[in-house]
Amino acid sequence: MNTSPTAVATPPKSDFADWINPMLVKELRQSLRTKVFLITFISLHVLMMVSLILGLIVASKTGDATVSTVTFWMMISIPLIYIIPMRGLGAISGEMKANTLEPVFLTRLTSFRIVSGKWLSMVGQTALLVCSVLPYAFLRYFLGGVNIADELGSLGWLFLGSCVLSAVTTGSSPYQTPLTRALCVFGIIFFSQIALSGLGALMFSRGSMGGSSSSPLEYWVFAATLLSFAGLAIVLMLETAATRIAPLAENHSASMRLCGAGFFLVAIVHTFLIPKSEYMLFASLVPVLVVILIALSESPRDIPGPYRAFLGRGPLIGLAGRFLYPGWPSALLYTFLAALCYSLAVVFNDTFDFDDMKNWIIWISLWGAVLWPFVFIRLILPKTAKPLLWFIGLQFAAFLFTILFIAADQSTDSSARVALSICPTCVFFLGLFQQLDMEGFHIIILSVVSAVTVGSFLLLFLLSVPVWRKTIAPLLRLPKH
Amino acid sequence: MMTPPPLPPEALPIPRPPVDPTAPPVISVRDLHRTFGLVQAVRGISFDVLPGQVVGFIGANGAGKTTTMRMMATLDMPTAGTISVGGFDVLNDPSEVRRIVGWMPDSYGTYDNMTVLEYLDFFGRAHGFRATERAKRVREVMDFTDLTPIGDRMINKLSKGMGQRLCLGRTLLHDPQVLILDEPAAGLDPKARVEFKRLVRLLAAAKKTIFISSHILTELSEMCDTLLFIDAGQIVHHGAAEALDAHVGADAIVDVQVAGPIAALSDWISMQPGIALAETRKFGAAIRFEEASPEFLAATLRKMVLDGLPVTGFHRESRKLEDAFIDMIKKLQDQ
Repeated sequence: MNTSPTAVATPPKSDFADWINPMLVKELRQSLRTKVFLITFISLHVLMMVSLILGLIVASKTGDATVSTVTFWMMISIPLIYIIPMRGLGAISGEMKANTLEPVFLTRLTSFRIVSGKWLSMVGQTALLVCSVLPYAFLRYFLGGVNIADELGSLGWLFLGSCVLSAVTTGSSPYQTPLTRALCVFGIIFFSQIALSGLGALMFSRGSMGGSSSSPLEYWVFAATLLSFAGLAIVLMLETAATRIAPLAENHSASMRLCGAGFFLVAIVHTFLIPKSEYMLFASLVPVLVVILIALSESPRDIPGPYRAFLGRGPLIGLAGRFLYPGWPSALLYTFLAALCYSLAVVFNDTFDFDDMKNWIIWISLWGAVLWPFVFIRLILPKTAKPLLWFIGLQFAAFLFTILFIAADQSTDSSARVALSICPTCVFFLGLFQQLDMEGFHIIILSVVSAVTVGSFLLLFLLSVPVWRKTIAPLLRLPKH
Repeated sequence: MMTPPPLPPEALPIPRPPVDPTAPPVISVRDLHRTFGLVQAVRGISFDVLPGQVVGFIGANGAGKTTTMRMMATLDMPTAGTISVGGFDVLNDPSEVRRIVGWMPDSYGTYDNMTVLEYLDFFGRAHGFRATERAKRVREVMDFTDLTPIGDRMINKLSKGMGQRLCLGRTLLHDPQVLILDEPAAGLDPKARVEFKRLVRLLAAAKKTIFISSHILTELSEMCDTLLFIDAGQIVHHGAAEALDAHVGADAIVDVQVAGPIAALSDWISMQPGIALAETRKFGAAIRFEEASPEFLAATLRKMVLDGLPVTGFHRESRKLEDAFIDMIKKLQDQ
């Protein structure tokens, strides 16, 4: 046995790395040594130098800095939007496959800290790349034809976009299948194109969706809203991943649902500060619906741990627990609250022209579309392990049916379409595709869709009562220790 | 914090504190079930482990060992039943259980681009140790597991034996009260296996409760206080290794060697009550005695000599634990 002096040098009592996430320390140690990062980093700088020289040559001959600008943004966008975020796809799944995650679970690191450490390391690499290209941005400014404030602002937005995309890929990483991986890659490419064009419009026009006529206040409110949305989306995605790897006693449902509430509140503040910006309410509805679908898919847990955090902390927190406990019974109340809040918001904001009954039909069918598949799942498939997959399947079937129906029945005033109103998803898509021009039937469709939506909610509520009584209520009565 | 004792010379015995049989159990498993789809991996097992006890968990591949151990380490969830470790329920208080449990899986994954020292340093950080304390713990663990000379080596370049020592070192970093070791010596060469057994003995001497699995019975019988046998998800025996014989029956196998033809011995055996030919061998035969009392063995030997058989050897074979285990499983299946 060896008795030689150890290789460990005497360290100080604490070092800087003690204050940051251990997972981040480990990931940075590993990732900064990977070939992908080293090749990306070196290639980026070589290409930046080449493009700068080429840009200089072109600019000296033509006086036009466009070539340099295009190549600069293209080269920084590729690693920030594609290469680094794509690495997030394997962040958790890679460790799960390599059997390296379980030992980490047995440490003091919570599942959220594990996931956030993974994400932060990608953010760290992104930040390193962004900082390393700053000298090129300044050089371009000194060579002329560039607004440095806009340039830095754009880099900042690009950095934020990269952070969100990295969170999306990290968040989906524990759920990796070839299909989800392909969807993620497609989604990143698709949404990054939209985001990049939006970024260009935003920064170069300095306007909030309305062009250069926007006031500085509107610009900053818009920027603050985007920042808040990005922050909430990042937390939401990281919590989604953490849920998958966390022990049952941890309640990640609460934080995900609070993120949903955050999206709503930010959108409300935005619409309050900026007139005619109701689109933000609809933008916020997308992540809220995602939160609702995940929540309605959750099974209640038959252990007291996740429920007790809300007990003995006053009536308000106790009441909040009714909406934030893990499991679909509380998710139903959360859905009701969300539907109520959004409905009040759109009515008071004059978001819709509610004199037009079609808008009412679309709005109510949206909530009905959320609820009816879960009635089917809880009644027919109460023991399914993948309710969300069933939800997607049912919605897709309804969507296909609507498309086929529209293709087969070209007359938009056909009374046959009234029969479709029994399925809120079909009605929703008919509305989206402008296929609800049946003046005489609007009231009937609205009545049927409303009845199906309210009926779905009531049926789910009735189904949730025995689940609540059998699973959750006994746990709430247990003493804390 | 417990500092592992320095390794004594290999020849010296390692003294162990006695186990207090009246102490409350540190691990308590009650009516544990685990089902994967239609497969019942664990079927209603219950047992207790006392503080400081070294318990061997034995069973064939697929018997439910790893599933049970993973549930004890909070890495899997029971379908039904309860497990408490150190008084904490694995489902309700997993974080408390994780603080007192050290889990060593049968196969450990390696990280790319990381040295042995960095690996242990990361787990030290993850366990919440600050710089000085962490370095001290890492140093102690590296010395204990003899990893110091390879501190700068990349962990994906380690041999199986080194990897197992690294894995044990990581398991010991937070000084856990309970160690759950799943097939820790699997795949090790004989030298590494002996070294590993010494490490386990040292840990037992440091009052650790050790729950160790293997499918090699002799390996465990040497270092465990008690053995738990699992078969098809059920505990079939809980007790000392020696008790297995009592569990199965009181027969014995005796190797008899003769100078003359073996056929004469076979004929003689066939005419005697209470014994039977187990197998013929090069210089004699193995005889199964229905009764294993010394008096009966002596009487049989005397009769052999008196009947004129040229006996040159008469040796009672100690039954292998594996055989005893297999006999017990057969007996249970017959019942």
